Amino acid sequence: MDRAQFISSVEAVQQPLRRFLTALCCGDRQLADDIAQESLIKAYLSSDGLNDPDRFKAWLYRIAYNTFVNSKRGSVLTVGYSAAANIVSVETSDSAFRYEALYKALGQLPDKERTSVLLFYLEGYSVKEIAAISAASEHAVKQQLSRGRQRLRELLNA
Amino acid sequence: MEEDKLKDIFEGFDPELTSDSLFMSRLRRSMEAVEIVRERQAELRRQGGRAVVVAAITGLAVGILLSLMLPWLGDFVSGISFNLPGGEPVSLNWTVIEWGIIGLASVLTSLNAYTLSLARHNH
Repeated sequence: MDRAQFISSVEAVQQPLRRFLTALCCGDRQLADDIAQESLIKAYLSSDGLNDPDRFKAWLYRIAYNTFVNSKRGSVLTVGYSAAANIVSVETSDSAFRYEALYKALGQLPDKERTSVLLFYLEGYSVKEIAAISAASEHAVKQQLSRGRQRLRELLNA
Repeated sequence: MEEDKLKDIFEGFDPELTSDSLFMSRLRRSMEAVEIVRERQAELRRQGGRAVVVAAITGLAVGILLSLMLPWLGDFVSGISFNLPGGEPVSLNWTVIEWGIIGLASVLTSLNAYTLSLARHNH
């Protein structure tokens, strides 16, 4: 895949990828963009190894998920999710806080459950495809989806 | 909450992202930097390959030349004699010594040729 082809393929998928990463990072757009940039560079470096261009998007999501996981391992959390969940904005009409409740709820989920839920609902991937992206078994993905949905329902209903 | 409500929440999920054009221009800049590094690495590999070829040819040439001079080299080396402190002459295997000298000269010449070839390309 040459540079022009790569750029063209990226332009088609960068928005949904960044939306997915924004939700995965619970609303942190800057972090989501940094992870997206790093993932795309990694993808560019290994694009010769992509044999099936039709699988570009799924392959990219796999790299993005691994990059997200590595970034969590490398970073030091200064505020826990429980503390972050207590931060409430008084400006409920501000578009920046439109998804505050959703991000808080997503932040309460473990990374794997959050990933499975987002890949299922946002991107419409099947259990099999999610298993391929997150390098997990289909059984594990089903469990993560089930638990993630249940927890989200409880949190968003509260 | 019903499954449909969860689906509705995510179907309507459309957060405000940072500018697409800024994102893509940042990506293009990173890709250009990567390409510069890649090209430099490829050039270094080519230089290294050329230096190996030069070193091999030079070493081989010196080895062949010295081998052809073996009769004269043998006369020179065998003319060298050592005596032990007690006066007894030291018996040496001159053939091994001669070939050792040829081998050492070839290796040293190869190494020098390799180093000089790399240094020439890096200036």
